[in-house]
Formats: sequence, structure tokens, C-alpha cells
Amino acid sequence: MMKQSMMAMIFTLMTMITAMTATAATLEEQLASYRTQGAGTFDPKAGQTLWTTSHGTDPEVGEKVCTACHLNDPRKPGKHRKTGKIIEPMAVSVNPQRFTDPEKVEKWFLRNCRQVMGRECTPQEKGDVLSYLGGL
Amino acid sequence: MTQTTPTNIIVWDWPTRLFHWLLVATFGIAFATSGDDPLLRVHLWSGFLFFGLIVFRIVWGFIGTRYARFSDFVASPAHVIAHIIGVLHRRPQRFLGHNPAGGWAILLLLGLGFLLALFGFLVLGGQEGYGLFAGLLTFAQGHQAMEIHEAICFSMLALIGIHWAGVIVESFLHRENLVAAMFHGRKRVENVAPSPNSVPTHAKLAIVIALGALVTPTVFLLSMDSKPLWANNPGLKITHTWEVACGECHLPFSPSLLPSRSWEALLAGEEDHFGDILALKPETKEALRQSFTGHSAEDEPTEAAYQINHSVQKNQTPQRISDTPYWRKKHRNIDVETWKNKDMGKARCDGCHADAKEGIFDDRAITWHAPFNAQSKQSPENGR
Ligand code: HEC
Ligand code: HEC
Ligand code: HEC
Repeated sequence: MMKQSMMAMIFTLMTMITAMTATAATLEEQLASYRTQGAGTFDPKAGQTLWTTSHGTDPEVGEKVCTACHLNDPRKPGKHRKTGKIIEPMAVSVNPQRFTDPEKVEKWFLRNCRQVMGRECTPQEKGDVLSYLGGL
Repeated sequence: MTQTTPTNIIVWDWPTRLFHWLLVATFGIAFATSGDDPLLRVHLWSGFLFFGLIVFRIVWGFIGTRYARFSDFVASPAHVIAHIIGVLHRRPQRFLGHNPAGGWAILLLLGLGFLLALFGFLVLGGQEGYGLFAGLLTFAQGHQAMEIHEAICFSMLALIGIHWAGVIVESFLHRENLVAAMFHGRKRVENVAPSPNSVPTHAKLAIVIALGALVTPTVFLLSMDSKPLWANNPGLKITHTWEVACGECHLPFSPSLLPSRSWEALLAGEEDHFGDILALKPETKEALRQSFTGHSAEDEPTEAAYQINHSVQKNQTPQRISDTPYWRKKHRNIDVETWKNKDMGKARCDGCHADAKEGIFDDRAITWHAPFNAQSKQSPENGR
């Protein structure tokens, strides 16, 4: 009995570590590519601020803020505010699938930043957000 | 010629009489319920019975009693012409069974009745996706079958008119009530010694009853409540690009739900897609264009595609499925509160239709039903 649960724990730990290192690598790559585009060091605090800052209310779509669809707590699943479709958690610690596809990441930054902030995000801002979501 | 006293003999055996009046009733009921959906079940039931009766009568035409047999009343064209000339001179020859002209009317009525039911099954398969022919016909073909079904029905009505005229004229010329004869089965016999009209044997009766009892429920079961026998509707396919690019924020709507000009307009307006920005790459756009070309509402064989396409005026380009007249008509009884609920908004087709992703929208796959009092506060227009 003891032996079995020990084995299970070790196994879980090992998978967690591999998963973490795997995403960390891609996240690192992602951040590195932002740095080559001119960004400095990344600040998770700034990322959190961007995540929760409201940019006013649009009469058609509602409040312009990332958390309208994702949540204040990125470890919980969000919901597209208009279509109701469930959005899996954004925090890498609960959802290791996140930010593993650079093309997808860029596509959504393009969409969501323009929709919420009315402009594209800078490499600095993107890196801040990813280090916030990656470090939770 | 030996003179015998006039007597009455049974000409129309009871199965023939029962058949006749049941056929009249089922035809009448089916005709009266041929409108739209709510009475469809009644229409189908009477149609199936009608079909069973026709099948019975064809069998009875071979094994029934003397005057019920085709061999008794299907005459050569020469006899038919001779009989009609006789009628025109007001002294037609009298027949105990059907006269030559009447016999042909019966044969034609049976043939048309058989075709009427057959095309009914085709309509059911094509338009509703039920029954023996489900999956074999497109909705548009089902629609054509419907037109033929109607044409046959009206030819039958015309023939029934002629049949009645014949009955009235002959009744008058021979001074006998032919309508009453179809109730009690008896006719007067004067000059000729009646040859005995053999009563159906138990064996014959058993066959016929078994047939009738089998045909109707079998047809009904095959047609309504079981899945189509050899046609399992796999639904419409969508391309991988479409599923990924259009399935990120909502159900990847089947391209069959809007005409291609609408999809074209949605691609052109992707920078403001109902408040969201799609930011599609040119190559993605091209792949999406290929995904809906040939698979839009104009092209697909489903009822939803056909009805949506025909409800939209040719000079209009709706950008919402929920803006098309057919969609609105079908959902007019769903109240505003439902549409305000994000989890059950208009675009959540899959919330109420289990087969939404496949683009089928079968009645049987609807998993949500309007509450009783919804009718009073309906108005899909305000429900955005
Ligand atoms: C209108 C709703 C909405 C708003 C507002 C929104 N997002 Fe998103 N976001 C989504 C959806 C839907 C996805 C796709 C989620 C998925 O694939 O599971 C997504 C995905 C993302 C992704 C990519 C995730 C990945 O797995 O690669 C990032 C990064 C992102 N959002 C950041 C933001 C930021 C930053 C903001 C605020 C500026 C924001 N979002 C605001 C709906 C929204
Ligand atoms: C970034 C998120 C997003 C993506 C990606 C997206 N849509 Fe939408 N779509 C929406 C929103 C939001 C609505 C409005 C929903 C509502 O009002 O309930 C909508 C509505 C629609 C409607 C109208 C539904 C109705 O009411 O009948 C159609 C059609 C549609 N989208 C087609 C597409 C197609 C085709 C694609 C792929 C090219 C696509 N969408 C991709 C967000 C998205
Ligand atoms: C709130 C639940 C609900 C939602 C959401 C919904 N429907 Fe329906 N739909 C129904 C109901 C209920 C009926 C049956 C109406 C009737 O027959 O009176 C129906 C009927 C239909 C029919 C006709 C089926 C038939 O053969 O009679 C089609 C097609 C259809 N819906 C398409 C759609 C599409 C496309 C969407 C998404 C854009 C959608 N529906 C969203 C509830 C819903």
C-alpha cells in the first residue's frame, strides 16, 4: 500500500516536472523572441496590471478588459462573454497546454489587445503578461 | 331464355365493402390533414392505412370473390367504347359487377392510390429524413416528390369525380341505388340464373387479414420510430481549417446554414466580427473560402440548407443565421429571456440541437423545448 502510493507520488512529481520544464522551455523561447524585438526584463506585476485594467465600456461589446472573458484568477476557466464558450484556464500551472504554440499566442494577442486596448500590444507588454500567467 | 323471379344476391363481399369505405375515410382524412406540421402524424397514419388498404385490394383482386376479381371487371377497350356508346344512347348493358368503364376507373384509382402512397414515402424520406427512403433523397428531391404527390392526389380527385358521375348515371339508367349496394352488397338479379358467388374460404380471409395487420404497423414502424434502415445520416463534413478558425469562440457553424455570399461578407468584415476581431491571415481566408464553396446553403441536400436558402431574398446578404426568415420562423416561440442567457444565446445552436455540428437539425435531436407560457412574450427581434 505505502509502496504503491509512494510510487504514484514520484510518478506524478516526475510528470509535473517534465511538463513544467517543457512549457518553461517554450515560454522561455517566446520571451526570448520578445527580447530580440526590443523588450527589456519582464515584470509579472506589470502583466497582472495589464490583465485587470479596464479600458472603458463599449456599448456593443461591454467592458473592455481581459478579464471580461478570462478571469481575475487565471487559474479558473473563463467564458467568452458573448458566445458563452468555456475558455480553459490561462495559468500555465493548471493548464500546461498554454503558450505552447507561438502562432496561436500571437494570433490571440493581436485579436485581444486590439479589441480591449484599441491597439496591438508591444513585445514588452506581451512578455509581461506571459511571465505573469507562466509564474502563477 | 328461362324466366326466373327477380332475387337479390350478394355481389360485393364484405371485405370489398369494408375496403371501399375505409379507403374513402382514409383518403378524406389524409386530404384534410395535408397542410403543415402539427397534423403530420395524423396524415401519416391515414396514409399508411390507405397504403395497407390498397395493397389488400390488389391481393383481393386475385383471390377475392367473383365480382371483386380483376378478371371480372377489367375489359378490353372495345368493350369500354361499346359501353360508353350504350350510355350515350341511354340504354347501356347492365353488369352485376363493375361495368367496363367503371372497371377501368377502379383499376386506375388503385394504381394512382399506390403511386400516391409511394410518393408519400419518398416525400417523408427526402423532406423529413424518416422512413424507408430516408437518406436516399436530398431535401430538394423530396420537394419534387411532394409536387408529384400532390399532382397524383388531384388526378385522383378528378377520377373520383368521374367515378361518382358514373355511379349516379348508372343508378339512374338502371333504376337501382348503387351507393346503397356498396353498403349492403346486394344487387337485383332478373333474367339470369345467378351463378353462386362463392364465399371466401377461411384460408383466404386469414391471408388477407394477416397481410393487412402486418403491412400497416410494419410500414409505420419502419417509417417513424426507428432509425432509417440502411441510411444512417452521417451529417455534413467541415474542413479542419474551418473547424479550427471558426470553432474558437463558438460552434463552427456548418457552412450549409448560410448562402455563400453571406460567408463571403463575413470574411470581408472579419475586422469587426460582431465586436470581435478575427485578424485572419490571407492564406487562412483562402482556405476558409474553399471550405464553404460548394458546401453552402445553395449546395447542401439538408432541409435546413434548403429552407434557409429559399427564405432569404436574393438581394439580401444576412450575416447571422439567426437573421434569416426561416430561422426566425422556427424559433419565434422561444422567449427573449432565453436569448439573453449567454449559455443559451442564439448562436449556441448546439445547446438545443444535438446534431448542430453536423448541420442536420433533425426534429428528433432537439434537446430543448419552449416552456408553455413562452408564446405570450415572444419576440426574437429584441433578444440580442
Ligand atoms: C472577447 C473575449 C476575450 C477577451 C476580452 C480577451 N480574450 Fe484572450 N482569448 C479569448 C479566447 C476565446 C481565447 C482562446 C482560448 C483557447 O484557445 O482555449 C483567448 C486566448 C488568449 C491567448 C492565447 C492562449 C494560448 O493558449 O495560446 C492569450 C495570450 C490571450 N487570450 C490574452 C488575452 C489578453 C492579454 C487579453 C486582454 C488584453 C485578452 N486575452 C482578452 C477570449 C478573450
Ligand atoms: C474571436 C472569436 C470568434 C471567432 C474566431 C469567430 N467568431 Fe463568429 N462570432 C463571434 C461572436 C462574439 C459572435 C456573436 C455571438 C452572439 O451575438 O451571440 C459571432 C457570431 C457569428 C455568426 C452569427 C451567429 C448567429 O447569430 O446566427 C456567424 C455566422 C459567425 N460568427 C461565423 C463565424 C465564422 C465563419 C468564423 C470563422 C471564420 C467565426 N465566426 C469565427 C466570435 C467569433
Ligand atoms: C434555445 C434553444 C435553441 C437554440 C439555441 C437554437 N434552436 Fe433551433 N430549434 C429549437 C427548437 C425548440 C426548434 C423546434 C421549433 C418548432 O418546430 O416549432 C428548433 C428548430 C430548428 C430548425 C428546424 C428543424 C425542423 O426541421 O423543424 C432548424 C433548422 C434550427 N432550429 C436551426 C438552428 C440553428 C442553426 C441554431 C443556431 C444558430 C439554432 N437552431 C439554435 C431550439 C433552439
